[in-house]
Amino acid sequence: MSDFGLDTCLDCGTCTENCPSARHGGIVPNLIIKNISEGKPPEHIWKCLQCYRCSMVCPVNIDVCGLICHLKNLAATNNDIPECFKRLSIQMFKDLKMNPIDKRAIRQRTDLGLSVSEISEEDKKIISSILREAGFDKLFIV
Amino acid sequence: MTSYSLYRGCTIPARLPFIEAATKYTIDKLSLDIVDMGECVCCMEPTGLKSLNHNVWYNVSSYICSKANENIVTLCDGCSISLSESVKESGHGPSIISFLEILQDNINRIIEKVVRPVELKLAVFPGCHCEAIFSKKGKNANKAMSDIVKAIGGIPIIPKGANCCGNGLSLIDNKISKSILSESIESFKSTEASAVVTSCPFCFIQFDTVARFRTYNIIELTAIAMGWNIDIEKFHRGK
Repeated sequence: MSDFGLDTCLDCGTCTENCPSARHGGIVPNLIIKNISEGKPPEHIWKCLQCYRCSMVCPVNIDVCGLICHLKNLAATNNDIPECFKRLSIQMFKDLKMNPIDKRAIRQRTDLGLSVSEISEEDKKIISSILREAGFDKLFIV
Repeated sequence: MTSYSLYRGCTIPARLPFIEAATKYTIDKLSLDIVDMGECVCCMEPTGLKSLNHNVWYNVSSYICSKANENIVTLCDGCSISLSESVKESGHGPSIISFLEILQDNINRIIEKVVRPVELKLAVFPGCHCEAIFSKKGKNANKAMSDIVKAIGGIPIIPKGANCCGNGLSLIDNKISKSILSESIESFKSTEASAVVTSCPFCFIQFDTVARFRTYNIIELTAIAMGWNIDIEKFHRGK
């Protein structure tokens, strides 16, 4: 956590003022930093949009968005993951894409004169191997 | 002229292929040195998959970068930020730019090619990730997009109070997501603009398909202004 320079945080609240989620009752970025600094668990991390607004406006250049992404990674190792992300990871493992080409897309692509091709076998092999090596399949498909 | 490899990502080819078609038209019309990387795996985008496993995100993004030539241009700003952060973390790799930057760099050539000015008052909304990419480079995405809107004959307006489309929370907390989306739509309406223009496919889907507010992609509008003929009603809306 020291990589994020949290000891330089001014607790000025600029990150929270500019956070779309905070403005509508979601995550409170400056409270996340405060809680971590005090050894308390961070709250509502999955309600972060990863929109980078907080990192863009921080006067001391703390990558707040990167910090929250890191916290989500830590939570994920304990299988504390929203169901929708589990579905997303299964989708990624299955098709190597978040949005696979379906019948509608094939029809539209053909009408627009666009190619309809597959991911190469080499890419499939390498990416599947990366996902397996990281335990991606075992972690989420349970 | 700098040459680029085009990384299409997975959202535009599958859900908004008309943007890809507009891109191909624009590349041809401006005689840009951009070569398609072909069918690609997901960039492990920043909102969802990167949040789950840093190592997987880093390895997949780095692999995508390793397949490109010297430079990569992306259609999706999520891809752009994902790939550029992996390059930053590794300390080497191609330079990553978004297609909006290509349009900005070729603005004078676009002006020369305009045959059908858009003549619309447009709310300018690059999107969070687009703004972040530009900000990291010391540039302003709102200005870049406004300049392009002017170049193709439109009137740009930067709405006050809109800073997110809410897509990132649509599957986690739909109430907050909808609330964020409504705030932005109200902001667009207050400008009395005919439509909103964005460069992000997720913003496009939120504004156009979810909120049913007239939305254009900046590449699509540029292509139309330069003479691209498309049946908007048939292809325009995402699913």
